[in-house]
Amino acid sequence: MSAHDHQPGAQTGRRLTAGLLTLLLAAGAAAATAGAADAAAAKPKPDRSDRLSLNHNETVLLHAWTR
Amino acid sequence: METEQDLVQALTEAARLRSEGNYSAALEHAVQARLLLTESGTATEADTAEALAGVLLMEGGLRRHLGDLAQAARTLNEALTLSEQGGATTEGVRLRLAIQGELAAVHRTGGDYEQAERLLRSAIARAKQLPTPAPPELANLLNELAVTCKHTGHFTEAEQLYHQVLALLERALSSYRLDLAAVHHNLGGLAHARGDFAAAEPHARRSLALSEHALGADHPVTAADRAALAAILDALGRHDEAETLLLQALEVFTRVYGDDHYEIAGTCNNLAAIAYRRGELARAEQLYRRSLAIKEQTLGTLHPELAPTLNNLALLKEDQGDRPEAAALYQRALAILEGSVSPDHPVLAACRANHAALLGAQRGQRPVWPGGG
Repeated sequence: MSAHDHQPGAQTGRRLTAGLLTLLLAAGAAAATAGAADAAAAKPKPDRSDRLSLNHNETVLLHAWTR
Repeated sequence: METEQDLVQALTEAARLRSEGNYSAALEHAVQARLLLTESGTATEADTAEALAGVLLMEGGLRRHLGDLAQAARTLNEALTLSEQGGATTEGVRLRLAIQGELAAVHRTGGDYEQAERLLRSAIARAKQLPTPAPPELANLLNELAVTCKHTGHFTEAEQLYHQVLALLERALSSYRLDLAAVHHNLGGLAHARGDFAAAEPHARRSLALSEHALGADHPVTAADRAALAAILDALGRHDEAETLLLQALEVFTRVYGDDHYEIAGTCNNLAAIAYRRGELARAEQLYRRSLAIKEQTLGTLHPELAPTLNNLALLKEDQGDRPEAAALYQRALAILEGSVSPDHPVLAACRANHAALLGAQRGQRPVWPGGG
């Protein structure tokens, strides 16, 4: 038990944390805690469309002499 | 608890809008979630502080996508501080790794490659200490470091890192098609940076096909794939095909990001290069100047990503007979690149070669070749 388990709202805070982390971390792949399972079971999973960064390709022209 | 329901709803909506590529609307919901959490009065609890860190991670990521790098950095630094109040549970460590990855992306986007690299190497070492299977954040961190290595010109390490990401994705049981698309996008970009355009094309096409299938044609991620393929096709001499793809991407970027985003700056640079090759110098100059103005506004005046446009505009000014401005533009590009990328970086090499050619022309050693080719 954590030090603040006896405080009002502690259970809610823990459930919220677990649920939100499950939502926010990689969807579906998270090894959710029991609390997370309670809070997030019915929640849609975000997809991972922006998890990996993309690089950019920019054209750099060369002087005709240098090619 | 009403607040809890509202909070989860706001966050779920933010995640949904983000996945659809509607980053502005997603940000509104992420901010709403943050306000609900901070106003609930429980955000000082250690557990809830960790949840707030997660919300700030989403908010910071969205601000980075929208190009607000300063605010993204502030938000993510706050998230990192809050997350450090959390415990050493696997979820807590994963949250910190995710925040570090996003913060590194902000540093890399802002041109601070050194800071990005330092943060990433430390986070990767921590991620590798976690029990197997490796957390999904490890693939993200390795990919981010690879993108940074591409920017600095450390291409061999970038390639090794991308192959590590591919190996991790192959082991993953959950859906990973979009992550796979991202790695192929980046492998195409790496081959493009190396000048191996034939090798780049299959990667870019695979990435575009995966994104288009999963996200649709109008998603900004699909548009980024289309723009990346366009640059490769342009380099292969297929300028018309490239221009069509770039104009399609530009339409999506403008709808999602507005007029002043670095995605638009890069697209304008590449459209300008096509116009230049066709001899449409006035249109090319207008597009280069738009690209440069957006880059200066969004990335600052010393960012290495200004260099391609400075170089290209210099070439154009040289063609127009304005050698003093051409020389000043080359010198500005060189001053920005030297010290921030490896000495053999291809963009630095191109700027040096072009500058040397201009100096040769000024000394009357050889005539300027109009049109540049």
